[in-house]
Amino acid sequence: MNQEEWIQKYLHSELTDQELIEFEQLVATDAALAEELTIRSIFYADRSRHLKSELEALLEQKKPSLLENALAYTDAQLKAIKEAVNTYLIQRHEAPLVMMDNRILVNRNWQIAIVAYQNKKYQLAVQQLQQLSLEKALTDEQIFYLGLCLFYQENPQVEATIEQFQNLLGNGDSIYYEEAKWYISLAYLEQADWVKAKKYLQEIVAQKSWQYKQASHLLTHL
Amino acid sequence: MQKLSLEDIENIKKGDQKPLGKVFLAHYDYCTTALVKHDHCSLADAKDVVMDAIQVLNDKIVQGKFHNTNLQSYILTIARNKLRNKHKRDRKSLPFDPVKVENYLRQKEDSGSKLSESQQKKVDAVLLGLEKLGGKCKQIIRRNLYDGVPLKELTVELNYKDITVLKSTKSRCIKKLKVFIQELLVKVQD
Repeated sequence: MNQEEWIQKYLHSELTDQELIEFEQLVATDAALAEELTIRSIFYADRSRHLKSELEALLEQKKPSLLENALAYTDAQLKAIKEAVNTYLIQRHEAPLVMMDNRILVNRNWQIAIVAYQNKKYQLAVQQLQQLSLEKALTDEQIFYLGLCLFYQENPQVEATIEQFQNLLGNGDSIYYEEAKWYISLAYLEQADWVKAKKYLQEIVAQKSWQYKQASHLLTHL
Repeated sequence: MQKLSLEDIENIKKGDQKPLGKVFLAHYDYCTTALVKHDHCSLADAKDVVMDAIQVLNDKIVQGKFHNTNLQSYILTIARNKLRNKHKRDRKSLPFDPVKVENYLRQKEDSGSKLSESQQKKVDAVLLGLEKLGGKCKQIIRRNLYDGVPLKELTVELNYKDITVLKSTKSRCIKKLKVFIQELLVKVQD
């Protein structure tokens, strides 16, 4: 390695333990190298300071990451939020109703999905609904239950859950609008995205819509 | 943003830091989360080493040593090296540890730092010395030793006939810089 490579590797923290010892010995016995290293280290640090202040400024404009949101809470607060969310998640939403006379008209995939949901076989329900969606556009009711099943299944797909509820929230006339708002709040809480969860929970409380008391309770933790 | 465009690479080489900002924002959440979760460091440390990694990325590009690989894993690997080094460094005896110098420069208005008083004076003298250089010398030293642009590239950038002329000019400029540093240090002592 030539002198320039030694200095670069040192400044970039690329020297192995052994190389670092070797470099220390070189610097200790070569005054010119020590002086060069001094100047280069100072320049490097000054450049780092300027670059970091620019990057810090960019971060200030950026929304906080989920990690930053989570770190703003103590472990005890996080535990309390988790417990509160679980309390509401355990209470499964009631299964869709199918009128006896309509059974014959109902699509087979949807029928299986309903029975699967009733029996808490959420993954099977997801498969049926996804299959159905390949054949025709899902109704609001089917989208809603697909969102729930994605959330309730053994390995929840929270991102996909949010996507389904967002589809419903895009239509203010949907009969599942209020329900979607509540469950999307829970999904965001599960994701530790407190900012978005808070926004929806506050809307639920302000509009006194479905589950507003529960929403108010969750807000006390945020 | 998994890879840099050729245009971004060229702009970084010219000293434009905007593309670096884009890279930083694109990978900040992923890298800091990975460092906090898997390397068990604080968010402040994770943030710091990810920014360090951006500086290394800049240097590698400027020096023509960056092979356009997956940026996310590239930044994370450098950040991990920096993190490991942060803990190692305290045991080492090299002069003017850049981390300590940076701490001194960043906290200058606030409290003290881990640098001794004489070291702090030297840091100030070196930076003032660079400013005092002025003209062509300042340009050469700044682009080569401060920004890390290799002499070969600098020969073209500063319109030198050949690299040997630039090398000898640089050598004279360094001597001049050292004289200024000495003068400034003597002035401070008086």
